[in-house]
Amino acid sequence: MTAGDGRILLAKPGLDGHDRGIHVLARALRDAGHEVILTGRFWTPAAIARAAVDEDVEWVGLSILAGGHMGLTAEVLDELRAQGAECDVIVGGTIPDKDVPRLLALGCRAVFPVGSRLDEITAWIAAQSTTEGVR
Amino acid sequence: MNDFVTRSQTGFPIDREYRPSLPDERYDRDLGAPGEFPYTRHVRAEGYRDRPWQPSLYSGHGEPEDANARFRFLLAEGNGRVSIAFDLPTQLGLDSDAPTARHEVGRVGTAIDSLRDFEVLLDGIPLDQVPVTMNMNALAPVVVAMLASVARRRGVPLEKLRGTISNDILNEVACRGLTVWDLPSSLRLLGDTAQFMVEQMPGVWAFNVRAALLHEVAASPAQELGIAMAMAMRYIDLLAERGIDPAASAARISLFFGTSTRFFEDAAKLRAARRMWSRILRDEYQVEDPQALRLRMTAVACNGSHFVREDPELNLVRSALGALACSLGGVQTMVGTAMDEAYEIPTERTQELALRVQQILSLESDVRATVDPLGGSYFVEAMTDRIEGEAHAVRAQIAEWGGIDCALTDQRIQSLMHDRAFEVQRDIESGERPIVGVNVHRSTQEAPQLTLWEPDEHIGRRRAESLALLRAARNDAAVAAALERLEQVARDPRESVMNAMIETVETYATVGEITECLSRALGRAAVGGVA
Repeated sequence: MTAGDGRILLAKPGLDGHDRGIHVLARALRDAGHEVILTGRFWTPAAIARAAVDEDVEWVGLSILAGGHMGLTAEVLDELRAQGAECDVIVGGTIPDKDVPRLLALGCRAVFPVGSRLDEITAWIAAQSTTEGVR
Repeated sequence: MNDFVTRSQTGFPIDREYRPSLPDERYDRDLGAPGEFPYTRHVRAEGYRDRPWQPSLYSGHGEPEDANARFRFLLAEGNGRVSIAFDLPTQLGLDSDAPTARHEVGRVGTAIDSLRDFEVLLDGIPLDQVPVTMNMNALAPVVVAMLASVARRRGVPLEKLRGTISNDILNEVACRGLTVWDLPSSLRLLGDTAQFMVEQMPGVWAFNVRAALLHEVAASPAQELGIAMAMAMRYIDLLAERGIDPAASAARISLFFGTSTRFFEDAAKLRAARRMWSRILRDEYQVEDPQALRLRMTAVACNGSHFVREDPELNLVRSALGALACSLGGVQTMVGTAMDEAYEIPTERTQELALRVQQILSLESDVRATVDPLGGSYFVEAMTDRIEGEAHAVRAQIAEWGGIDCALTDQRIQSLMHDRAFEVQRDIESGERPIVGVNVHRSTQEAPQLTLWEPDEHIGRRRAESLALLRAARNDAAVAAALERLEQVARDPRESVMNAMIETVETYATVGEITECLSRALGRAAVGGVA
């Protein structure tokens, strides 16, 4: 796998239906050369982890705009570990400042709150692959 | 008449209407006097001179008693009604103790599991005096049944109730995703609910078409207007199939628009909406009743999607510009976004400030002094004409796609919105679309720390305990019998579910039990699993 174009699963965990952000991000990541798999709404953490394993993705991006980010992210991370996934998690959505370090402490690699730029997210992901080399 | 509002600063009386000094055919045909067809200027002859628009901030969080306290706070601070936000589990027909509801209970709205919760929700609110607005869509029949039940128990005749319900499943499919059953089943339930309301609860309007959601997914003003009109007409057609006269339906539909900081164009959109509505109903539906031809509107004083994390105090300025759009556009009720929208659901303080924005506009400014102050502006009239024309083109495109149901099922509307959302984001990132504090004039000073609303981490446990008590206290046989009857009725598309629904909620069947029952009858898409 070459730097910057790893497969990405973008998921909507829980009950939040707002999907403007996730679609816009999917397009930006595809334009940057990534293969992006987009889930529908209402996916459980278990289903997200299963898809991450099945699709052999490098990244799982969670989009949560209804406040459940702490609990849902924790569950996704647990499920990914339990299912032996080898991918990293990034989270975006309506996330108060105080929850950013808490999400990182859980094991997320990055948090991109509302207003984060697409070019910033894309560049960040590309930078991770460069520094880590081929998986 | 309020003298301060209608007198100039030098003391002379301001006229109700300013119009061309010479007879003007175009004025009569395309604008009309305030309160007269095609209602471009305002639905009321007096506009806001005798009374302002009604502030109608939306709220709800935690348990019903928490939401009730916030409703009462807002009413005391000038909100004109109770406008209810339900949490996601409730909107999706899940009980608070459902596995897929964890992390979401009471988080962005209030948790309602049964009629008992609904009673607590409206405790101390005089239903014959205070209008009630509910944002509920898939589960609309359930909450309308609960409202009817509470009203009857309190001795308030259903005809005395005022308010509205969104009952707007098409916008869920288009923008927000909170659907439970497939579209035909959802439309059947929506029709049952609306029919019951038109016939028995005529003061509570059956539809509040949330064009503001289209705005939130990046629709342009013309798209917002055109798509919302197509949805409204679809609802009218749906009720006509049930024998309800389009005039009766139209008189009980409101449209709920979004606004931004581009207040001239947004005010033009609202003016175009009134004209478009009255012309469609007169020319396509042969409606003559002025009550039906007058489009009543709600709008939000600046959509939350325009509110940013940086310098949140500046979001108050954005809400003022949005409020200006709403008031220059002549809306009847005005929702408000709080300055902390990019972070959390609002606090009492941030909602109080949102009300004050509207109150400053209403009491300190002269936006109410004359009706439709922008009328006759070359710019605004040109924008009004243009938006109306483009909105008609959107409507025509939807018709070409086979109608709004097909346009949604085929994802055409959604694709349009995704494309536009991407363009908007690209323009923000290139700087072509300036946002002060974000991509231009970034502050060097640190913004004060916001005191945000804090979710209650014990709510799940408390709700589970409440549910256990409820289940223990109620009559299981009565619940089972009512659910069985409801399922039977739901299986027959020619029957309305509403009477059985009222009986069922009165046995204290839970929202989850009722939803499962309807799903047995109607089938459903999986929730909480692989879609």
